[in-house]
Amino acid sequence: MSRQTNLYHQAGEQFAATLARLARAVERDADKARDLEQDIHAALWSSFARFEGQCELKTWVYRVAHNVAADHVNKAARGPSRVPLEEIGELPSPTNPEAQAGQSLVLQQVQELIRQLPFPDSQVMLLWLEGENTKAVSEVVGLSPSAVGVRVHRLKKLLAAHFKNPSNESISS
Amino acid sequence: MSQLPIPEWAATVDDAQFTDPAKVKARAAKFERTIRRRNVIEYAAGALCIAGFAYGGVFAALEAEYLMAFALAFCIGCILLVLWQLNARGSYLLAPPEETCLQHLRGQYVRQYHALRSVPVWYLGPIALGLSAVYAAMILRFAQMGGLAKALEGTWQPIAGTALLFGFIWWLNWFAAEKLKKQIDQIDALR
Repeated sequence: MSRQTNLYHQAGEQFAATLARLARAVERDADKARDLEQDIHAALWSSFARFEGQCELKTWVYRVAHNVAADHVNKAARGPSRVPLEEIGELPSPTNPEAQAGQSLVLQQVQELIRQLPFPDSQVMLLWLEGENTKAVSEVVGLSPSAVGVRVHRLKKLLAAHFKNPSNESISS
Repeated sequence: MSQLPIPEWAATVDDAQFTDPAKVKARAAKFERTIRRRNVIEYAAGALCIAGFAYGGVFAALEAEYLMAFALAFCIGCILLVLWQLNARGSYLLAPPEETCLQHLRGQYVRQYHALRSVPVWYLGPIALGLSAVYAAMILRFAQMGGLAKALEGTWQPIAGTALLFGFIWWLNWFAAEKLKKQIDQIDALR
């Protein structure tokens, strides 16, 4: 097995679900989300030909995936206007009319919020939801750790009313 | 990966797998084919224009309308210049996707911004030069037959229409470039 294929399998074992959540969060349409997921896989596979341990595998995977997702969103013709995190007061309504009550509804609202946020706010939010700490988010996105911290603080405040404990001590540094 | 801040988030997808490497390779190849096809379509459109002007040029030369034949040949040269520039500036850039998200976004925006801002130089300019040569040849030819006033009377409308169209295209590109500039400034302010 080639080194490239080996890295691809390694990434698949660790990040398949994370990247599927990323694709489904940024793309509402299920078929397009599946397409985006495969585009991310293809970009990762190609990128591993250049991976020589410049950074952690996780950082590499997230950068490639988030950049492919950003290009996907940029290519989409028109969408709702995006609102920065500091201007959002509450979770948006899900567009799916069949949204179920309770936690599922709130998770759909969270996905809707991700779609409404501009870059890099949406990227910070997705990485935070995946449990990444400030340093890791900063390395992927390119924002300073303090700028990431400010965004995470706003996110926690926004989600506090909807989840019992939307916090992660590791990221509050 | 540390503890998730909202554990329910993981439950939204928990059964995903990476695409089979063979299928991924095929997808990457398909993507490259799509880019190549887009380039071929652009060149085919250019070749069609060139064929039209070449046909007109040969016809004019056979009719001893050498000025018009020269103008059409000049126009072909201008189209070739635009096609070359289109390939050099507009072709798909395989940006290293593993840059940080902000670097990647900024790179994409800056490339598009420069391409849009310089449209008058590499796209509108050469085409306008070529068309001006054709219009000038037409005016001179008509002027020989019925005087300059008559020639201008018959050609000012298409010239004005072309100028308006070019002005609109320039404004559209300038407007899009300014929007990109704001996005670039926003990214720079974040760093």
